Amino acid sequence: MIAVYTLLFPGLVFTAFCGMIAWWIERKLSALFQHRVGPPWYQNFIDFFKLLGKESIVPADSAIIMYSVAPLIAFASVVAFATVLGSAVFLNIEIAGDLILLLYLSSLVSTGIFLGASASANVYAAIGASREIKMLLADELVFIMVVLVPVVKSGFSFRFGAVLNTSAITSFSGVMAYILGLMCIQAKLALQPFDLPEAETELAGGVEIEYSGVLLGIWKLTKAMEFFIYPLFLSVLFFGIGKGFVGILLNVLFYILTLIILIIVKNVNPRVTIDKMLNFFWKVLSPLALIALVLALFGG
Amino acid sequence: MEAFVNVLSFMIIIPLIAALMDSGTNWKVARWLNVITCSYLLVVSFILWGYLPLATGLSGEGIFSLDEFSYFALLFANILGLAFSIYLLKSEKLKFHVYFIMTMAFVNGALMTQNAVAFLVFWGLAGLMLYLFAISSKLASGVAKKTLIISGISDSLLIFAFFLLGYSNEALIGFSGGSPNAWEITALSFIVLASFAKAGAFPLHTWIPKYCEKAPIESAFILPASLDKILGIYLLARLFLEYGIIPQWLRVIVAGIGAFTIIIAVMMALIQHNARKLLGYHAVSQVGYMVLGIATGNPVGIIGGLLHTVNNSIYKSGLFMAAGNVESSAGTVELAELGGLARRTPLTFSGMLVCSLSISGMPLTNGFVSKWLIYQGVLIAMAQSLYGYKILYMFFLIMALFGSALTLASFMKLNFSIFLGKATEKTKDAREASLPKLIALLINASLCLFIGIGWKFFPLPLIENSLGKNLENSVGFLSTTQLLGVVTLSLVFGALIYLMFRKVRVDDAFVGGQKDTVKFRISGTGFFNDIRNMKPLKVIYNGAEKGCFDIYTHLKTGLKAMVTPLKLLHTGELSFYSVWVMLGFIVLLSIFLRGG
Repeated sequence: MIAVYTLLFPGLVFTAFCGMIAWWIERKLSALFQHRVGPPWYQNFIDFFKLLGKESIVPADSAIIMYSVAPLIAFASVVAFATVLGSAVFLNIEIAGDLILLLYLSSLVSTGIFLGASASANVYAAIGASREIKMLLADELVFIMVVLVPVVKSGFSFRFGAVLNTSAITSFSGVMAYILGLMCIQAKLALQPFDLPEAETELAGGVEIEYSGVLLGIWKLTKAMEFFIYPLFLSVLFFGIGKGFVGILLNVLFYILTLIILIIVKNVNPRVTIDKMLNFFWKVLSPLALIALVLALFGG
Repeated sequence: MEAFVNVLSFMIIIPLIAALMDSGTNWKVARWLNVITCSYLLVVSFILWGYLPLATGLSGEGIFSLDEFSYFALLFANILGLAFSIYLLKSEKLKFHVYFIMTMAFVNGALMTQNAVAFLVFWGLAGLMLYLFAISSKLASGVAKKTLIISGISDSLLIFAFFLLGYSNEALIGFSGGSPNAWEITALSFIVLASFAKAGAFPLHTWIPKYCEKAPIESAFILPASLDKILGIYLLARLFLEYGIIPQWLRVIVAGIGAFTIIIAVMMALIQHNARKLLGYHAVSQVGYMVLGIATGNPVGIIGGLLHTVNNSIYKSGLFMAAGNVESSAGTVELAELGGLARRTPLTFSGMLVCSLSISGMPLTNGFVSKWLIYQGVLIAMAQSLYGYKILYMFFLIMALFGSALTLASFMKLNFSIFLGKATEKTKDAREASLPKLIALLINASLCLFIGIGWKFFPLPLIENSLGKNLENSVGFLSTTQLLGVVTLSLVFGALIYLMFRKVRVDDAFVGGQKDTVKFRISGTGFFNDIRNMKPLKVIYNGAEKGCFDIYTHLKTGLKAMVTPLKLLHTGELSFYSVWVMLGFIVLLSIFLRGG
């Protein structure tokens, strides 16, 4: 069964499909913001399959094995994340681990991106890699506190059985933590204003600059899957899992709301510099997250 | 049973005889003698598993004894010992071989005794070996002195503590029926501080980073990175396990020091430019996790703390071995001078990367499992505490979780600076280190993965036996075999996509329309300058680099201030001393006259 969960549902195939669609929603909405038509719903699928047929150019100076393995590390981490989370959300079963595992798997995705960029030996990729890891530091502190709010609300448990059956959003601390969580997800997805590792106009793609062909396709697939699972993670973490048809409908609506907020924030904000981002997360958002967590401890 | 009684004494006598024989031969003979001795120690350690508990005296009155808990520490000390002896096969300095095997004898001695005097002797001798290793390098004479003084402080504290508590042959720390009185609390605090000094926790950690930077690399991975951690945390765990009731406030203070140690040390590691010093700060930071886990006082946290101790010894010694390999390949461990070694030394890179991912707590490595247990332990402690303590435990949990992210960032910088990016003058012609060094590193890296996946089979049952408690996962869930299945399937699928559609062309890269050259190179040393220069961290970093937070520096300054006026009284002139004698005589006379 593990193979089915991992490769079909709720793992690879399901998440990849939903991710491509979520990404299309992002592209379509962004196009509307810019008074463009935007791509058809299947554009991301076409892009991915097209990349599979292209040549992969590997820089002569690169650490070739790590350059090729790093996208697979990030890909496997995202599939594992999707399988663990999806099993808890859609099948109500625990596979492999709990919330702590998900936190670490999300860090492993950043690690894969960092290693791949660093292995390419390109100067822009190196700058992108350093930004990727600093962004992880910036958002992780806030994200840890955000995740701890539902943990506290569920009666101090890291298990999905407890956390996903609690609706933290119904409390003030839950609302506060959810809003802060949105900022963290924005950073984890490297969406504007936190698209620093790729920063097309500054770094010409940064961490992905040297990637092409099938390896770039795997990066894009990984990114698409992230686009589905991170907003899903945040929405079920705070909304819980609804019961019955109305509950599931509300879950879907809450997920779409989360996704749309992320897309709106992306389209109305310019990119910030890395020092401003660090300051914003550590000095502004962290104290707020701490207040939310203390409030949650006192039942607020 | 009786056939095994004297085996405990042999665990000390045999390595000491080996040390004696080593000193009478040359390094080529000594290295193999040590490998044979360490193999013997490891084999005996495994055999002893079936005969616990053991004592040298038939009625249990002997100096040496072994219970399930000390056995756990002993076994891992000797597993590491064998790996160290393999690494040292290429070490041409005879004294390192002698010191190493003596260290093994003393560490085994400390772990196999419940007698306070014997423990103190072995504990002190292990500290002395640290000094002897360090003074063998001219660069490390200053840090050798500092190490000796801090070790001396820890020894003195232990002597005071055992004196205050009284001691018996049955239990190292002794038992208390009820709540401890003020003297007992003082003694317990001294023991905690002694274990902190040995393992390297705040505030007595300051000898470790410099030691790791300056002392021979062989001594860095043998003692501060591994065996000292096992000894220090062994003592702390004995205290928490054996001593009846530890007041909650004391447990919270110890846990707080643990959490604080994690953060301050890793923040310092983040800005280091020397690989060995960076690893030295991480050697301190990881102690914080062990202390935090044990201080939670609940079985999950204690199991996590103990597991983290052995896990840390494995990956940390592996990391130092990798740094040693880099030093022998490129001739330096200064990060600014390194880069691009992944292509030239792929095995060292693989070993370093696995150990780096382990220390960062990445899933499927041993570091993840022990950290996962510690987080649960803290969460349980939080749930069971009153509100004041609840908030403190919440801070500790945040610090521990965030410390892990900082560790990851620091190790990504290290791996980038040494192995990735572009090659430098020092690294362009580098080759792999010698085979024994690679084998030892890969043994450690494999252990990281082996324990990370199969921890429920080994060493969890060993820890459960030593505590007499089983692990109950009430607040967390982890199945590493399922996770291995999920990750393997994903990796295989990803690899299949890659292999099926792979059309690779290796070609020169271009930057700004020009062929990429070594001029377009970024060193990893500046990765975290944004954090280094951030307010108010800049002030703290500046202070730390000047030694403002080093307790040893303040102790030295304080002692100097006390001694300076006394020096004025010791001019060395007879007439001056005569005046003092006369004054003393007058004072005594006046006292006697008044008394009369």
